[in-house]
Amino acid sequence: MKIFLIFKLGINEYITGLKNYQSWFFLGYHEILLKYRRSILGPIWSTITVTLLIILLSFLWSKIFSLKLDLYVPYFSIGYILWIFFSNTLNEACSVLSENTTIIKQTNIPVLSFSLKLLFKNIFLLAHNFIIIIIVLLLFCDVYLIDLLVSLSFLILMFVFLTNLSVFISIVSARFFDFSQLVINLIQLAFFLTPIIWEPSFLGDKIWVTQLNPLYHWFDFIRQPLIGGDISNLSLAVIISTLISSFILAIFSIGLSYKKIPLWL
Amino acid sequence: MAIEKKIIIEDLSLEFSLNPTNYNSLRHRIINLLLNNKKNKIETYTALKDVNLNFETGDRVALRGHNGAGKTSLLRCLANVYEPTQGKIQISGSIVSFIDITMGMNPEATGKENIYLRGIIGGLRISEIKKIEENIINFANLGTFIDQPIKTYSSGMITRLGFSILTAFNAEIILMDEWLSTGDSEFQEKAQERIFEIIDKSHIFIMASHSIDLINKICNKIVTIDNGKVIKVEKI
Repeated sequence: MKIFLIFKLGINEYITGLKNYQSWFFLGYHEILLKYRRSILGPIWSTITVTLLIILLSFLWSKIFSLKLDLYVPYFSIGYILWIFFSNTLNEACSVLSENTTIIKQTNIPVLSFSLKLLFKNIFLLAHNFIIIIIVLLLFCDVYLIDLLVSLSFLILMFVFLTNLSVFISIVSARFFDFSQLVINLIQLAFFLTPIIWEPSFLGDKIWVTQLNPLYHWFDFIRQPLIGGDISNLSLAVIISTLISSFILAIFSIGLSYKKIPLWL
Repeated sequence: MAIEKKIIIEDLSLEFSLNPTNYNSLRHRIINLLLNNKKNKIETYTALKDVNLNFETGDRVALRGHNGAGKTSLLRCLANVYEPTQGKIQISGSIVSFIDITMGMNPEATGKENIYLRGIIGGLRISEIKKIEENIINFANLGTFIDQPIKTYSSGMITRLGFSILTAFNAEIILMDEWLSTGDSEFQEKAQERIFEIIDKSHIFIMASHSIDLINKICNKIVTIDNGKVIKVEKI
């Protein structure tokens, strides 16, 4: 009975947060605007550094793994750029509520708005890095429009997944200050455990280990259509089930805590 | 003032947990769970107890009491920030809270952008802010500084901007924690005039204050709070 009530509260608050689109849209956009103001290049500066990193590391890793460069560059660059987006969003989720303590203690802005603002800001940054992906695709791959659309639609699903995760992370870090250390370390670990620089086939007969990692399926689903690979039904099942679980996690944590957050901070 | 605005507070109680210093530590929590340690019983502090109040259009309320009596807690409950532990609050009308006028401003953003930031956090839509933007800029009278990042402002200029923004909102219910004093003497005069004007226009005005002069000048109802309880409601 009580669980239903928490769920109902959570869903209501979730919807209120979504309806508040003017606030998170504007706040996210404004943060990017300020980044441009601080230096003329703004986020393009980070795009340049990412480009440099991708070029150098592609040479290095493809030599180490003795893979063909024209196959490895698209694989690595798409995965890596997605990873930057993914990890930045979750890392920033740890501190987004405590950074806005004064606002939270004085107004009743829905907690989801802060995660959406964060996501939106990072989507902007991802859009900048997307230029690299487009250049790589033009140089190394033959992509059909339909593949691009499949990939983009799964990217949008990833936005939803990330919003849910970051709401959960932001709420738990508001309650437990040392939770953020755990998250940051886990994300770092996940970078090495997820096939981004390496390919699952390297594991030989232990390839099933990667199948256990939900992130692998998410990344693969966005990456494979672009580089001409196949996607498995298992990946689809994992994506759908983790997406649904993320909704449950987000709604439950919002419903349980959204009125207590001003007291925790 | 066609529609009456109302605030009905019924049996409101608010309890805080007095958390031990390690309350926010996940490590500590896990260790306690593993050791099945229940020594850390959380004590609670009652900030507000059985508050019953009714306000309606025309009420100019002063909240009085010692520091820590529960005035700000009550204001935060009214602003829908704190969820009451018991009881409920019914409010009809839009609320503008003057508890912290520079809240939500970004030092890197220009004066004009901060009008939008502050407006959005105050719950306005962009189209609504566009309508009052001109009025705010004129009133704040910051000249060319309005297009500069507010980190270049003096603290007086920042409060001036914050004040101009908040007083441009259409407020049916105004919550204030202590009277505002802003800017230089010239601006203060202008500001007092403007604040009396918006208090006049508002339906309900609630202020926590210690200043007897001010209370006598503005308010027609005094609520005295002590230790979280309402001990006296008088009309003047």
